[in-house]
Amino acid sequence: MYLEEPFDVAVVGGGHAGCEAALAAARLGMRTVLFAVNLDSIAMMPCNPSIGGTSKGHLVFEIDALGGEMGRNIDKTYLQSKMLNISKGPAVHSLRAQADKFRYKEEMKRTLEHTPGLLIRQAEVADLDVKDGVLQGVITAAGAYYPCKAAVLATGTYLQATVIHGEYRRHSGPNGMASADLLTEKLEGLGIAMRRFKTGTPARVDAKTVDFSKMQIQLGDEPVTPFSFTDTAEEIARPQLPCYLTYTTDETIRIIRANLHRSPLFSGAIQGTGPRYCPSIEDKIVRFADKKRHQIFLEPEGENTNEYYVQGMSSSLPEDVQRDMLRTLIGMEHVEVMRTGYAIEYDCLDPQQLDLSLHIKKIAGLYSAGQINGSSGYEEAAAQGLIAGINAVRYIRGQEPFILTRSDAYIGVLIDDLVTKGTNEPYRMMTSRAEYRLLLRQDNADLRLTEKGHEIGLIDEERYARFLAKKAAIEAELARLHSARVGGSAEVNRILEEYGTAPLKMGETLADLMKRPQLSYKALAPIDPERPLLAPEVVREVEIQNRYEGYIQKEIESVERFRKMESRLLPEDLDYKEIRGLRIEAAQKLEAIRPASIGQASRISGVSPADIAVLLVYLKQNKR
Amino acid sequence: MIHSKETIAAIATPVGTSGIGVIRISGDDAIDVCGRIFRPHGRKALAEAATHTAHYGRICDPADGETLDDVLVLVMRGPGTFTGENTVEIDCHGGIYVLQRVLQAVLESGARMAEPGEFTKRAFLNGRLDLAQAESVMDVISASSALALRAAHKRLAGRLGGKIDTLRQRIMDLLVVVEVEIDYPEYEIEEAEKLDLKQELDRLEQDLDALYRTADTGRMLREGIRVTIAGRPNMGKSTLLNAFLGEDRAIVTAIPGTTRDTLEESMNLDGIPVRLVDTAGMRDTADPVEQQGVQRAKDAVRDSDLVLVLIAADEEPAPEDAALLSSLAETEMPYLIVRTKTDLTGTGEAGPGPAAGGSEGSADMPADREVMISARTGEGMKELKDRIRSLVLSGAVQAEDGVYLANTRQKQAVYEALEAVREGIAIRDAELGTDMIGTELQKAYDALGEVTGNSVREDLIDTIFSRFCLGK
Repeated sequence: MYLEEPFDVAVVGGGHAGCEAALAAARLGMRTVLFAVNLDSIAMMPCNPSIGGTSKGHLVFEIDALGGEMGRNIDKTYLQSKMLNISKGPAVHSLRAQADKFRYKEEMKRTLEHTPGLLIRQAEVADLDVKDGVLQGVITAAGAYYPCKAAVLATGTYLQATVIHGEYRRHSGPNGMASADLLTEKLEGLGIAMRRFKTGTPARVDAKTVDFSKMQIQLGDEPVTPFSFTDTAEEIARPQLPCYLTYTTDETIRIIRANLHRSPLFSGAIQGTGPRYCPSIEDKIVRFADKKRHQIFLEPEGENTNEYYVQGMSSSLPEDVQRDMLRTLIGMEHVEVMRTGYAIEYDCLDPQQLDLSLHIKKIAGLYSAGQINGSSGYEEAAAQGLIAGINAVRYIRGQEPFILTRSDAYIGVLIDDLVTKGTNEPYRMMTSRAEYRLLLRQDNADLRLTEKGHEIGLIDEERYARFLAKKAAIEAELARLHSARVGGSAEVNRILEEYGTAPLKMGETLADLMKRPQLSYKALAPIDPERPLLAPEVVREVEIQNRYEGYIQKEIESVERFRKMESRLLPEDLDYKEIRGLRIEAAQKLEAIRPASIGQASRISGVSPADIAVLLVYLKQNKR
Repeated sequence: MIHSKETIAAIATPVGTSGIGVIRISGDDAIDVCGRIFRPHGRKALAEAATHTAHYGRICDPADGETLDDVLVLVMRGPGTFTGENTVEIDCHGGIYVLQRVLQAVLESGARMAEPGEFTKRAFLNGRLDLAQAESVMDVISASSALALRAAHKRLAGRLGGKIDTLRQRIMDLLVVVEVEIDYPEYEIEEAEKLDLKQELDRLEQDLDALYRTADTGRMLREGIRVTIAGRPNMGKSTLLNAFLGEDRAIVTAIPGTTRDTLEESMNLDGIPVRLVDTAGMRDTADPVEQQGVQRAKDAVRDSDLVLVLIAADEEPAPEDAALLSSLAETEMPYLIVRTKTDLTGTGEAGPGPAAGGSEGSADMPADREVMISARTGEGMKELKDRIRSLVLSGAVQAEDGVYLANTRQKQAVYEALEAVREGIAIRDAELGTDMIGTELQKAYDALGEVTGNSVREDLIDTIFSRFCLGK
């Protein structure tokens, strides 16, 4: 072993979580080192070539509003972009972009390389130096000791990873990268409980062997919506590539059924817990035997490659079966496989060992983020990476941790779910996991979080000033619409009639008029001569906030009740077994998870409202 | 869970022993909540009432304005109250049925049913109880919530519980389609998986509304302590009922199994309202009609406040008796063992039985629970009545408020679900987006699950992935 120079923060892993953690730490002025087993794996997308989608899009907007990198990076490297759910309410509008995988990681690596105070180092971290429960440094497999004050574990799917298809099993990380085999045992030695999860990816096929004319073409939006609040549609406009939709056939199902005995999923060769969220095609066909056909999307992996991702065909069946079944898809009769689909098993930790700042409770200075915490998805990983990076810095500086609650952001829902409830399978974000989804929209992510990002130090003054101006413009316009009244003049009623809505008998505010489903801000222009010239994003925000005003207000009220419970803090040294009236099951759960607040305690399964009442009384009793 | 309503209400006087009762409302909005349903005889609105003043007037149904009761309303403004919050007490005079309707009106006008021990808990949290009382508060909370939970489970098999489960399932069926379309917008929902959101919302509204209107809050409609007469056939159950009532209400014959159904009668036991339930004799039988009667007898025993187990004084206790007694002991149901037909043994002494042979009774048949009677001659009847009366007065037997609470809570849950579905319909009609309808359906599902169910989020995600073939 030899001694390297000391760092403030060490980040173990260069995936989406690691990149955000390292960038946040370095941007906050910390001397930071990021380790990856292979520098070519930095910001790699070993599965689907897209960023965003329902609820994941929300995460990306939130990351951006806090000063993270993912939104800007995908804006630079997208191949196609589409707003999903536009026919539904604004709360669930979700942006998804197809990424050029190769450019995505190249751009991210470039950003890392150009960040002052950030060193990228190809090395496998093999051990952690912990003294008296406090992290001192990290040690690489080659024997380099890096003293550091804090570390973020972002090992993704690399820990003791095994790739499997059919009878073939290989000790390997994702996409042919080397696995990281030494750290698991050391973490267990430090008292951290580890477990094994499983996920998978479909084959990549050669576009020149695919007949796209037999498939439905899927185009992007024109113009596109940027992910980052710092980008405009014009700045990022570029020609887009299409995706394609095709279907499985009876023959697909027949081939899979005939070969189920060769699937490691069903033979028992795979032990890890897989996600319901991205099941393999063989899993889908077994579980949904009645379904006649399945949708399959073909998505480009990059601009300069023939490789296409076959979404919907994740599989760990043997290579020959994968080839045969892919050739039964409409338009893929002669397809050639370039990369075989596989299942991957990896070690991760039980997130109930973390607190809400993503700090591993047992070891001061140690944080973890991303798939090691039992999540799945690039966006979920990046969101955690950002929070872990910020909190590693705040720990070093002796500041209070930065915690987003369930009412602040999807990021808050994600982390609270993982830490409080734990997960038995790779966790995917979903809009239905959020209680306050009308408040947690993509469009207002900046209004919710830029202030916090500025306070943390990741939003610079220039961006903050622009944000404040936007906020002021929205507020001013909403106030104006609420006070400006229009009467039922012939001119006004003619316009109302034109839009198929009832004429005015008495005067009404513009705000109320705009709440009618038939009327938009734009529609009222002729009867609103005093309106100022506003940016489109200000107008959109004004429209949403006005139309949903009553519902937004109701949700704000329930958030206030929620906050009351979140602000009742539970002492860290509380001995739950000593509390009279608490049921044993509840005391054990509380003891294990050690919730920060009454609110968090109430979300632990096995803790009843009566237990919460007992806790409240106990707290009050001890305060006197 | 965190409740949406912070003003709470409950019947403050014990249910069952008195027809007169007090409803207590506590919370910031307590005075407004009562004010919405109170019509004062004077001019002064409740909102302007000074603290600690009494007001005479009527309570009216919020839906149709019907007068429910003439009441005295006591307005007490916080912090000088038991809970430290604004508190209103409604003194009702119209009996238990009316008391219950008034509570319903209070709940509809913006309060929610208090949790077990919640008034006391609030009193403590607001600094109105001293430190020494804190521990007993915790005991009260845990004990009363255990009681309420037991009562809730007891009641779940009931009619209302079954209907609630069915509606809850229908809400989930609809919700899951809404949410799949949101979280998986590109997923093609097959015909068989589709549900007509518009129509099904209307249907849910109608069915919830119908259930709410007709939901019987159960036991409260029948006043008093519920005393069930149980035992094997031909032990003199019907004779005892008649002896209590002083009339030939039940058919009495010497053919075992005559009473095939349960019979209920009210009586007044020295001022205590009692509901007497005569049951079919418990025995194994092949006769389907009698089997039904036996099942009803078992249900009646379960729903009792006190059970009288009849065993003829001259007979050995049979295995059926032992089984009944041990199940009563297990469920902590108060009971008395009534040794009947002492006139037949001639001496008024027990034949071979638990008290015979100088034994002090077994664990299953404790001697101190025994009463010897002859219903025919009236011997021992006074002693039996006295025993029942003292059990009630000592508090050992009380009308189980828990069952009533569970019922009222269920009814309130239906009301909250109905409100949410109506909001969903309003959102649909204003074209505000299916995501917000989903949010309202989540609220409806959560409301109906309050007594026992999982939270909507866990159930929803499980259902989505069990029903739809999703994923990349």
